[in-house]
Amino acid sequence: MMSIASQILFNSVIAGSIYALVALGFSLIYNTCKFVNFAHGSVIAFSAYMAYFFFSVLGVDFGFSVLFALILASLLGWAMNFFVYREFRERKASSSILLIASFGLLILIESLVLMSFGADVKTINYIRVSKGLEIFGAIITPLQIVIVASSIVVSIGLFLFMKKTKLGKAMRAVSNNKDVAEIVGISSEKIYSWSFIIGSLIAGIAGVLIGLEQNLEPTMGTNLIIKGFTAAIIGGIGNVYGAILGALLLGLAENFGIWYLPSGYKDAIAFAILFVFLLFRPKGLFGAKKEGDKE
Amino acid sequence: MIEQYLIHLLILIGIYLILAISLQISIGFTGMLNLGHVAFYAIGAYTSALLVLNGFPFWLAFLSAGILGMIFGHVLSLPIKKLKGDYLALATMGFSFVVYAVLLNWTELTRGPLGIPGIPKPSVFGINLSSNLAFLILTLIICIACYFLIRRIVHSPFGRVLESVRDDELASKILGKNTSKVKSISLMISAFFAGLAGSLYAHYITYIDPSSFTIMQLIPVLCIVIIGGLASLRGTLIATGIIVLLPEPLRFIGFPSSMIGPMRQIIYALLLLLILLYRPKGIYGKVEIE
Amino acid sequence: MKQNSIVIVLALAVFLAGCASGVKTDTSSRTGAAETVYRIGAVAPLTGEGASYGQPTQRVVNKAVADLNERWKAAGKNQRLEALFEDGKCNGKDTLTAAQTLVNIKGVKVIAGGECSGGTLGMAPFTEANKILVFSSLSSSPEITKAGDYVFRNYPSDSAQVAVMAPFIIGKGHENVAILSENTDYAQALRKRYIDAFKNEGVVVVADEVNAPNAKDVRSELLKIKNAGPEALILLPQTVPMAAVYAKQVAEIGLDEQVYGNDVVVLDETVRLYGAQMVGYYGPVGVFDSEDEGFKAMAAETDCQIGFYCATAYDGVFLLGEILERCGDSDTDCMRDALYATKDWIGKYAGRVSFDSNGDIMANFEVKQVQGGKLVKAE
Repeated sequence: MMSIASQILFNSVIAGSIYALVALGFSLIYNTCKFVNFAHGSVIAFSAYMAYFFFSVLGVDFGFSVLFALILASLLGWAMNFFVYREFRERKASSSILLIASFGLLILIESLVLMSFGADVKTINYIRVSKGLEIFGAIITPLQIVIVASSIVVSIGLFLFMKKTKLGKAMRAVSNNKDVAEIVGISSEKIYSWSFIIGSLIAGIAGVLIGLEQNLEPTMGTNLIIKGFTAAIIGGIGNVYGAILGALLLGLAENFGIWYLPSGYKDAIAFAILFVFLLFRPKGLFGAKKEGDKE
Repeated sequence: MIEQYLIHLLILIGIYLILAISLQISIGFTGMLNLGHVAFYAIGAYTSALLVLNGFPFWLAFLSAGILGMIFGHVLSLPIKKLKGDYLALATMGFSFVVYAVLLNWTELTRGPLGIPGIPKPSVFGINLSSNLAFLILTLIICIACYFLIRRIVHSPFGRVLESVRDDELASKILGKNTSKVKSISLMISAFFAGLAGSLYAHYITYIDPSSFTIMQLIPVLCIVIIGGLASLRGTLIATGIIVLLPEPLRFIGFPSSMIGPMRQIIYALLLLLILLYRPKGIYGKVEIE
Repeated sequence: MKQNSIVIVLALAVFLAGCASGVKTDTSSRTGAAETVYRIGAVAPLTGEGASYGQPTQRVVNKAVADLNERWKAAGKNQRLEALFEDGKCNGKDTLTAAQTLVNIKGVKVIAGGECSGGTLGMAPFTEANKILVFSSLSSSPEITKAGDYVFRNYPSDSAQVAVMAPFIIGKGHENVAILSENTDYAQALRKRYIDAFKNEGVVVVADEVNAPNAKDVRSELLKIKNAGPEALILLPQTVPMAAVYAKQVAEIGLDEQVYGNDVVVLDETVRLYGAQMVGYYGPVGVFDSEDEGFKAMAAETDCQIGFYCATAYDGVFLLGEILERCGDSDTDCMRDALYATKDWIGKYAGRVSFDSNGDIMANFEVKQVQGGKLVKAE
């Protein structure tokens, strides 16, 4: 039984790492720009498909394929902000309108991907299939170890970035109080732009890793962003690092939950948790207070 | 053949119209960004299908679809009383995900992903409405009835209370209105009509499965509500026609049928974005989304 | 405001008129000096997971149609067959929509396909109500046997598949087994048949996991299976991509049990792509002469790597062609009776066809094993 429990634990950590990568980028954008950006999910999907396109279709070297995918993902995020969200902000749109708009963008990008690549599942055949490594009685593949490691690295990287770099500090300033930040000379539009670039870069990393691990389908973004913001909400939406904990908790809840329930309920567990938290603890576990909270 | 095709389109317009005007009650008149509308549509569809397949008459199943939708509308309204804006949107959306997950997993009741095939066409006063034309007539009758019912509701004193909740809930409360109750009733009415629409859908398509009721199905309805303009029933009517008919020429330009689905979504998404940017009041809307 | 409404109504009218002319040209194909055109509809999964059999099937059907037309021309007959394809996406709802489009808008009375059993079952109530003749070369769910008077297939029911595999598995001496199946009509029908077969022989099913259709991740299911410690594992996917996920994750999680699959698992296509992960798998393959030079040429020309399905799809067109010659393309009662009366019709590649009173055929399967990336006869 020990090995089953450790396997479930490993599966939870792997799932949690995936969700963390999604939630980190999402939270960064949410905290800085103060609206729910559903289209973040489509950036993840786009990144995965770009990696597929370069590697599996064009035959470009894997390393370069990943690099291009990441660059294009950041570019897409920046473009979404520049061409769409900025226009809305200029019209003083409320966060609800931005939410609906982000939903529209998600559908738009997903449908474009669907039209370009088709609805069937695609695989990035970079890694040879073989039995995973056995650790503490549980099996974990090298790719899964990379996923967990990446989420740790990205988290630490983001932390250092926000704490130590000028841009990071400026972002925190805008996130805390945009008006005061502007007074001291920080351009909030520039910061918004940067939050999209960095957030989308993280989404890009998530996309490539998830693409390798779970294969690609056009609607992968929708499902992932729901899990991602569930994790963010559990952790506390004002707290970027809370998202990491939220992601791990979500991973645990799902994987232990389906040990007892039929496996089809995995997503249902996530939805139920989301619903419950939104109703009873919208601040999440570690929610910082944020401006424009429940009126 | 062309008549069959037009009849099909008109039936769709009818069903979408009921869905849209019911959503209009929540979003346009009460100011609640209810993104969980598809859940009531789904509940209505499954209720009606299962009842008829178990021997109940159509009119009973049809009404039950609305009533069950209404009950769930009430159930949803309780916990979301205090939520607004984004959080309300996310919570209602979350509700529709939960309903979807239940439909997918409660296989004893719903057959899960296998869906429910062979839903009989409605039988009214002993006449089996097997032809599409007959179904269209039924749909039109129901549609017109719903339209005028809802029109009466929103033009009544209660309708004005709804709009006051939308415009300034605090002021409304100060004036002594029990806004929580008002919002709950509004959601219940909205859900009732969505349930009716679900029943019509189930008996028209004769095959339902959970994939017909994902958040994607909300997009055209949301588009209609926003493009028609909030709080405008006339705008909703026109927008329904536009949204249902606009992608149809794609069928004839020679796109393979696999492309038509995503192209429709692209058209809707673009329309939504453009209207929100350049004409947020929609065609005849009185207010914008807060 | 009034003006706006008028403009909109006018625009709608013009638009609808435009559509009307578009639809009309689509349906008026009964032209050409005295040439008879038989129009049939065809539904197959052209996109989505099922595309790995839907697309080759489309190519095979188109080739068969072309060959049939040539044969008719060579025989001096002034007639031809036309098959209009719609995408059924391997699920009931989309197949039904495809059928409705074909029947209501394009006006056909015969539909070749359904392909996926869930699809055929989904459209059956509609086609039966409208007396549309349905002829499937692929749907294998036993439920189809009862689906209707106008539903026929030249592909054998799954009962035939299980009737061959179950004794084979039991004959290997396993005392307990685990089953992993996809939650679709076809796979679930197989699963029920297997469970019944095992119960009768006293083999214990220690784990019975069902995963969501097109699931990407079946590791939790596999973990539960591993935990139950079965001696053998039976995989029942609906499509080739699902089989791939099964094979990959079974290999990754390190299950050492003997694995048996359904016919999807041992399709040429599946073995070609994923054979490396499926070493030692057993599965059922429809018996026909796969070495026949003519068949190999046809399969190569149409890039059809789904073995027996290529054969039945091709033959199905020719059989339909004969029926259409006799009855025209609208009298489905005549067609139905003609099909019931068909005995020992010999197809070019898939062999002998006779329909029983349910519109089913009997056929043989044999067990093969994956060795070195290829299929070999099993011991």
